[in-house]
Amino acid sequence: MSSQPNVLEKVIAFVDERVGLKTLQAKMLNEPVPGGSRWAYIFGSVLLFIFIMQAVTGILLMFYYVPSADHAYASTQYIIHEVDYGWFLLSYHFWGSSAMVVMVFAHMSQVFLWGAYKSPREMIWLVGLALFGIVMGFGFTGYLLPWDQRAYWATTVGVEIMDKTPIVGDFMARFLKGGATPGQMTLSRFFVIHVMILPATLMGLAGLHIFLFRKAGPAGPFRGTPEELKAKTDYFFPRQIWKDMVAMGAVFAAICSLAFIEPVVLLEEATPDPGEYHPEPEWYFLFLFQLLRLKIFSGEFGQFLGAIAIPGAFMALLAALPFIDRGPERNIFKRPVALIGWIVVMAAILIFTVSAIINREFLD
Amino acid sequence: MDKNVWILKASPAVLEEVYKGKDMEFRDQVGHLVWTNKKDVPYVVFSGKCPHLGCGYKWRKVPKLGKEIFLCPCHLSIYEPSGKVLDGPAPRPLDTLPIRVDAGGNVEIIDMEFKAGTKAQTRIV
Ligand code: FES
Repeated sequence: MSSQPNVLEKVIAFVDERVGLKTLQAKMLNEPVPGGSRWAYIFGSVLLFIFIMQAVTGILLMFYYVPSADHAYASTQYIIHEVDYGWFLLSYHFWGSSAMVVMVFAHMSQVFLWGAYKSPREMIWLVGLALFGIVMGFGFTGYLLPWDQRAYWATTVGVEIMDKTPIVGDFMARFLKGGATPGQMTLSRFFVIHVMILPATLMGLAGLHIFLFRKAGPAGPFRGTPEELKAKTDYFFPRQIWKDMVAMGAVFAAICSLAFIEPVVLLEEATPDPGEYHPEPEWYFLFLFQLLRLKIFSGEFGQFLGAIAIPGAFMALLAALPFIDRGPERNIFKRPVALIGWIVVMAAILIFTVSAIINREFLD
Repeated sequence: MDKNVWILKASPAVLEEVYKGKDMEFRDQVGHLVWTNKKDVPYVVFSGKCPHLGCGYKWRKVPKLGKEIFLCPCHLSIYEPSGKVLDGPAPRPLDTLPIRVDAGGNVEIIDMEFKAGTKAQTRIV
């Protein structure tokens, strides 16, 4: 037995001296979780995991994908039919995006129901809302890239909706389309936004989100006295990490299964003639799409109301939430307005989504 | 990319509805007259872009109504063959396009496009 350190230990000691690995590790892992680890806290970590996987699969897809109106469709077909496991990569990326949206909803709901947006965590909430917008932006821009009928029409309608924003709408729509009508310019722009601008913004904001979160510390459960919570405090490592990892594994398995069971199949190549295809956006935008079918949202003003004013007001309300709702009470069962509000919003989204699906039958 | 249009061999009734007894004038973005559709040319061409939010609409026989209509599957706007809005959220009728018909009956379409979602037509192409 020698007490001489081996090469690896020497290298680690060398880096540690200069970087402070041990402090870093202690900082990362020894974060106290008041009231102990819980399954309810997994969503943030799971989102980070999904994002990393989206980045990995996205980069691999970019090895083959060609972002031009002439080749986007063919190169996506090539990925599906020719590239080894290309179909799996694409389908994983596709289902991963849905998983991301589901997890974002779960994460926001958890924070909302636990009252974790309240002081001193207002900024975490605001940055989180921006991240929500980024995730939706990823879904919207990624949808166009395969350049099939589904892609083309979802984008056409989506951009027209943006066009209805007062003052900046017209510019935004023309900027996104890169001209008067969707075409090559639109594809190029969506591609750059999807693979450059949004990932960079997301990484920056997610970093800020996590930094702010670590600064304020986890909010902990909404019941129990400070002494009780203190007595039950866990550290991030190992119990919370373990729960997070189990959840990541489950999400990974779920996305893989979906990719296997329901792999991506392209429709016809994009053309301005929809043929027998009934245009529809991705499922998480369906409720908004269905909303615009309502009579009250008809005409120029109604359209503005349904497409811009109501969603905009809702987002503004969410942003203002920590500043309006300043009571220290975090227990959701003692915040009836919040609880009912959450139920109503979830029910409305569910009802509109389901009715959009039922509506499909009547289109033929 | 190509554009989608609907060409109708129009009955006198449809022509009357579209033109309301007057020739239809088309202007460029600065307001100069570029073309006039004569009210008695028996063809009508509609831009294939739904004036609601730009989807492609379709021609449908509706046995229940006993007539044929244009249906937009996106937000279910329904138009008469003359382009008039029968139902749904569309803010204005279908956009009639300028056409030229030669002696052989060939219809030539002058490309134009209008902004979707507005009550008044705003030309963008
Ligand atoms: S785009 Fe045609 S009804 Fe909305």
